[in-house]
Amino acid sequence: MSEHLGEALSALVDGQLSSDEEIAALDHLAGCEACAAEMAATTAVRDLVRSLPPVEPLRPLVAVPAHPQPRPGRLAGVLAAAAASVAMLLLSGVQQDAGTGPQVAQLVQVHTTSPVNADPMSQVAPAALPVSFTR
Amino acid sequence: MTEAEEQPVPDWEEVARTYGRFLYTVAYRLAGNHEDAQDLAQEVLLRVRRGLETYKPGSMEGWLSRITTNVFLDEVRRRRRRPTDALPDDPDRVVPPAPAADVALAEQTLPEDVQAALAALPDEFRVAVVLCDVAGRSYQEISESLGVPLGTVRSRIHRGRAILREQLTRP
Repeated sequence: MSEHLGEALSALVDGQLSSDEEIAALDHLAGCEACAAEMAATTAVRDLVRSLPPVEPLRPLVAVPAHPQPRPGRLAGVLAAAAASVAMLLLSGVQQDAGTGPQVAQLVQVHTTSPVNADPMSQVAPAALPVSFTR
Repeated sequence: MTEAEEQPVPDWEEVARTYGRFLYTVAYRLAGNHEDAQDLAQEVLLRVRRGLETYKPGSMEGWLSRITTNVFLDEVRRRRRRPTDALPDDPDRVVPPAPAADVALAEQTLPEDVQAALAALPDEFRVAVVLCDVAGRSYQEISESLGVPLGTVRSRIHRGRAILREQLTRP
């Protein structure tokens, strides 16, 4: 007897075998109870999926990206704008004060090499930082 | 239409009107929930709208099925983190045979149960089964849509059904 039909069973019930294959499969099926039972079960599952009802969208379908960028809420927008202004202020302040204030590296150098009780940061830092905020 | 060469890409609104339900049903059976189905269907319409997909004259449903599948699988690959999640396409890893008592299967099985079993299938099996049994595509079309050999389509559909059967007959 020929080999059992195996994965060809689905193709058989779907009418998707070539005509030669189909003839051979039907020939085998006529004498093989196991394959006949498999075929019945395969057909039953196939029909269950086929008979699933159509599904209606919950909302009308439109042509939009599947993953839209998250839109910031109003508060988040205001905060972002505020942060941007502060950054601009700081940036312009740093540029304008670049000639008058001490450089960061210099400040760090002074700070890290000084004894704690003689920290020069208290004298030099205010000249460089808050000025730009008050303009 | 008789000439097969030049056919304009269909208008997405027309597609949504005429094939919206078909598209959404395929998307829902692939994705398994309304939220992802909505995203999926809308991404398909977006591709249609932007003319990103070449329209080959023939079956509109076949064309939409192919786009939907591609969008779905792109998303699956994007989400898939570990290569060990990949499809067990190794023929040695045979699906265990289902119990033999399922000829009466159809009588008592609810659509919700079928949907749940479908959702539990490995993605590549579900895609093959949905294209075949929900979208009504031929094995040849499925093979072309997925870019896999016909034998692989056969195998995926059959093994997908075997797993469904096992799920649905489990007491």
